[in-house]
Amino acid sequence: MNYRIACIGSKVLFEDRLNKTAHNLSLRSFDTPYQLLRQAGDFDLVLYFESGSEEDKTQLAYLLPELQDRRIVLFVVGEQPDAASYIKLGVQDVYDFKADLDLLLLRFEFIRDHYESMLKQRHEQLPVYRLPRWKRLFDLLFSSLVLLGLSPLFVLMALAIKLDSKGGVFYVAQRIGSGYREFGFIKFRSMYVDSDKRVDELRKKNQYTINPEAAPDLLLLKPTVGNFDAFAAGDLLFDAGAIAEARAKESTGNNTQRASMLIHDEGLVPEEEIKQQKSLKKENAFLKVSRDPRVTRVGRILRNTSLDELPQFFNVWKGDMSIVGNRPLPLYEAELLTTDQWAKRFLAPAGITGLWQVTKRGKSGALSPEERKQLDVDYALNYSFWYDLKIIFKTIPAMLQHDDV
Amino acid sequence: MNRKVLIVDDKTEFRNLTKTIVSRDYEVETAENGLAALALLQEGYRPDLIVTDLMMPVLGGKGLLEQRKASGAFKDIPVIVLSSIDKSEEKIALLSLGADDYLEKPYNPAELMVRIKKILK
Repeated sequence: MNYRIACIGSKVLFEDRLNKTAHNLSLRSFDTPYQLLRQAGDFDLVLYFESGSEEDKTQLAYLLPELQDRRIVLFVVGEQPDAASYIKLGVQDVYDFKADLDLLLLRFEFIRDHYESMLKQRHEQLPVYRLPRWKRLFDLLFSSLVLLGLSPLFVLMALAIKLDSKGGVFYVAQRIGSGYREFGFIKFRSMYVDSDKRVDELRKKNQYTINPEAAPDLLLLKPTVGNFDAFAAGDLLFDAGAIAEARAKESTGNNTQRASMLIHDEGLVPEEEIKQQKSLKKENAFLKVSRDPRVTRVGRILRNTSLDELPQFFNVWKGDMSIVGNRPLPLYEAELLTTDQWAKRFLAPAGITGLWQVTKRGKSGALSPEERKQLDVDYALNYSFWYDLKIIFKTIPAMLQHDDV
Repeated sequence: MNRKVLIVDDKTEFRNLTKTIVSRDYEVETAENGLAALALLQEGYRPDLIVTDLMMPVLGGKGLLEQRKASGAFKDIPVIVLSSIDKSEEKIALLSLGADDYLEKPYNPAELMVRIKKILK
């Protein structure tokens, strides 16, 4: 079959190569899209050669709708072209001058053969997030009542936070809310302002943490490979004298007893060290959860009582989120859920409380991540006024259990 | 005649150390992953025992065990798995896949030698 190809802003060398790659091509060159459209010949493929100026985008924006109606495939060719921006514009594919032309022609044939279905996909109606009016109304009423009713408490808490440590009353974190919009998620501040610095200081002081400079022997292996021949020739259960002596000299202690040596991925390690490392790991993890040094005194109380979450009613009042909905997630977590399987969760608004917060307590065990995600999707597909009320009523006993809401 | 042991591990250092240890009593061949080991076996190399790591690129220890199970020619060669995975479910799964023994990394060389000797008795 003969392919009719139009080249705009022609590059003779590229056309030459194209001609040599396949013999069933008829190429015609034009200077501008306008010329091409006026001459109105029939084409299967239009190659647009990037000029490198701002004009490229406007030219293509002008050309694209015309070509799409006539089912002509449009490729852009350039010197390291910015493929993403062209494809966003609606161009079917983007190539470099050095492109493999066989591949280009294959891709062209594929697009031509599937043009119909590709067009359909592009116009397929994706479900859109829309907040029902009753929900917004309910959110406004509920949050206004809560904010009014709790305002004395808010003042007290704000005072306590201010007096306890330097810094503002609120802490704002970026979260993904209703309709996948990023918003400032408001909480009462429960940590010190320069908490990250504090952690570094504490880590230095913390005797339980391994400090590589202070205790090099604790960290895996110095090259013992040089001594290895002696080891392999000696008694396998205990290391050969050479290594033990070398190690004893390095560490100031008079630890001359023969140590059992293990073979690790990178070399030899004394069994004692492996055991020590294992127990240290446990201890570090324990310290991290038990008393986070970044949390202020008042902050600890607020966190334990979930009171630090109350300012979220401001977010509800502003419309960033709802009373009932799926948990607003940090950016990186939200991104992970944009896969086909879970993306439907974003069809529901973000909310203070939701299905998984109240489901968790019904059963004794915690929910698996998959179960939680599935509950989010279920909520997005099924929510209604009465369903929301039910969740709110279930949330109240859950809150009294001092769990995080 | 010396018995032959094939050591399969992707970490060069580990492979060399283990080879030095095992070579005291056995004739050792090494492969850097399951596929390389499989190639050796298909060429006709018949060790008396295979010592293999679990997590390796291309073909891991599990894959090697499955291939061995499916093969006719070398399905009876005993296998010791040497890995840093310490979950008992994993160990059980491996043993039921046909592994003859399991040793956790880092391992004690004397222990490995005893276990090899026991299997090759």
